[in-house]
Amino acid sequence: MGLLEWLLEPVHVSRTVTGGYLVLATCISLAVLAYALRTRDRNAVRLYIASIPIWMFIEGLGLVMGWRAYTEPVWLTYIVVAVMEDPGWVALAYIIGTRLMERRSLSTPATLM
Amino acid sequence: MDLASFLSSTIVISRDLVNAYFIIMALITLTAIALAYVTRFKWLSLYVWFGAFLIGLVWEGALLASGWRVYGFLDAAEMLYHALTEGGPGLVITILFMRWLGVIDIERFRDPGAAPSDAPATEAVTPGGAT
Repeated sequence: MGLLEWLLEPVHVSRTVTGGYLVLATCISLAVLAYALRTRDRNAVRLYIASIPIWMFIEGLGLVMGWRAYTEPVWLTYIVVAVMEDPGWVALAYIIGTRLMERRSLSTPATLM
Repeated sequence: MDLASFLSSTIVISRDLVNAYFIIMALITLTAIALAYVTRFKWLSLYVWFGAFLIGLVWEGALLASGWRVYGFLDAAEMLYHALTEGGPGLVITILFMRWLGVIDIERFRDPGAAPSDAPATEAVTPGGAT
């Protein structure tokens, strides 16, 4: 198989979840947002909110171009993934990274390159 | 549809792309690394990348182990590749872009010894993480 053929070979990734998964993802994301608000982590809250339009665009583009597909309920899945799940992961990853970084600053600031 | 039916209903979220997508993700990864170095936020980028990688491993690993996740080939290898190249680089680019727009202030996470940016002076990370 040539390189061009390999590059154009379709690849399919999917996940089969339930409505309960959408509820779980929503709860986790709201918990992350609540934690960010409670700890007054302004950056995490702003990243969460700023990620919403970004992911709405990415997921929306994928749906329109046919790269992304959801089974029914399409709109509900889209809202949960773009407004809740992905921004929640963005904020959570930022919180994890910065908390770890602050812990490193506590113990060994001199070793940071 | 009542609540019980909805909670147990099956929803499939799929993505149909081509293998070139993996190359594009690798290029985005390299772009994120370059941006992290150029903007002097390589340590923040490394840590949030690790956070995204951790989330990817735990969440995607659970989906994969439960059989709910289907990849194109070599499930574990593809999952690792996605965990490394999908969450972290996008997050790093998003954070640096938001900083550039002035939406977030991450000056206190700038690499130690890096020259101050043209952004308003803020306090550096001090022991205890106090600001």
